[in-house]
Amino acid sequence: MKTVLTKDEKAAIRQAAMWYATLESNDVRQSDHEAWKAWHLSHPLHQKAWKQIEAIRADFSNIPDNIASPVLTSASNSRRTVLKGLVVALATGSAAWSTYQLAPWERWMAGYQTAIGERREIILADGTSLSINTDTSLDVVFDDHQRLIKLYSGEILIKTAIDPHKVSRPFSVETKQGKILALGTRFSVKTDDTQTTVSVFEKTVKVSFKGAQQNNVMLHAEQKLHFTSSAIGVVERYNPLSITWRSGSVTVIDVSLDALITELSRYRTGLLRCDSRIADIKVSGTFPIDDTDRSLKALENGFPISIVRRTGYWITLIPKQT
Amino acid sequence: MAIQRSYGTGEISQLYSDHHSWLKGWLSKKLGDTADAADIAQDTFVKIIRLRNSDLIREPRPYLTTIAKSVLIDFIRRKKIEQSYLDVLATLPETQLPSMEDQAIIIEALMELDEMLSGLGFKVKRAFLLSQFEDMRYSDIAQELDVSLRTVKNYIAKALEHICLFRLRNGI
Repeated sequence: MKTVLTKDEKAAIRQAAMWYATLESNDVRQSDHEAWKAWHLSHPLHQKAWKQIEAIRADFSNIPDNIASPVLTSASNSRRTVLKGLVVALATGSAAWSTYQLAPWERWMAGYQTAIGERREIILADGTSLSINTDTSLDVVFDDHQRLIKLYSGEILIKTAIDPHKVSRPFSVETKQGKILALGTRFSVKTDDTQTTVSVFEKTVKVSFKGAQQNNVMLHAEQKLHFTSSAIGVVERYNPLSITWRSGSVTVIDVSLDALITELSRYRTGLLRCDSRIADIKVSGTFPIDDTDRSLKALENGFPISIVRRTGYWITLIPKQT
Repeated sequence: MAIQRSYGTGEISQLYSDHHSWLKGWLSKKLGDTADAADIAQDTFVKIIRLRNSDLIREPRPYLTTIAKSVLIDFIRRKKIEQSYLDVLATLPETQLPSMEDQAIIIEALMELDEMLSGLGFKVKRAFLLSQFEDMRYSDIAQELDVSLRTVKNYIAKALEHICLFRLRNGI
């Protein structure tokens, strides 16, 4: 029998759950037990909710311990995930769902997300190599007609492979501002909510735009293009050092300290700020991104600046205090 | 020749004889696999019977394909869980393998638990599973997940609340 719960009943359940966790925790104190008793006593709804929460743990006894955790920790099996995959397959106009079988299904319909400071190297189902930088979120959608990467935010480097599919499918990367069609290449895409930058290292890509009224742009090796949803930049020379993140460092030549700090902050959580008095100091060098503290120390040693740690997560660089 | 008419309550057997072959054929084409297509077509009609729609089914084929898609989603979920389960069983010594009947019960229980946990974030889910099935203390879970003890408490509370509401809403 389905139950509709009142606001008070829901609140009681939330409280009961919090109390249960508090009492179960290994740092529970006598005062917690006393406070719980008072809460429990104060209202019949509390007692009812407590009973309901308490019953939960006992009810999983029919699943052997050594099985539940590994089975359910693996890739989400929720209806929503499976539905998402089906919806994409249908939306891309794929005539058949024949790729629904388990292993191939998971290969072509996958989401990847890196945490701040995390990097990953992935080989996709067609052999394409995908390098994923910090704080990046994307979906891979391969079906009968295309090989598509939907890049929501962050930065990736791609080296496409020849499609082993019986009919060669186009390879594209899509961002909020446009779509990049690969014509047998090695290229990187960096995007956030308002802008996209494409750099080409080998061969050619074709860039089409979502917002701005503009024809497609062909971008060749050693070229770079930056665009927003309303404006498209000029084709510039690429920065060959822009992908050194793959090997764990950032290499800069003659950039402002402020720009370097902005780049390093992508690889650490918390705030990293630079005082305006030292923002324009020109810096060159290679700085590890897996150990940004070491990078900051190197800056402190090489330049007239001091590092001030206001809290564990808030660091400011200021002119050196003599 | 497509048969176009409406079907009232209690006319499921007519619906079945009019459209079952068609549905099986449609699913076969979509799935590229006739064995699964037969299972899903069957389960679709079973689901329709269970739904006991009191409204007229005016457009039988679109209706059937909608229900079939929903059945397919659950079918895939079950396959995924079965596969994960088999992978785990493969790591266990022979003496620990459950009987076939127990395995069937366990798969059902896993499906239900998976459904109950869906909607929770990955770390929240993990924290709950570690405390429930691996008897880990909160401080050990905190270390395992690289979060604070306070966060683990919040995660477990969130999971318990979520499961409790799910069970109440579904009359479990």
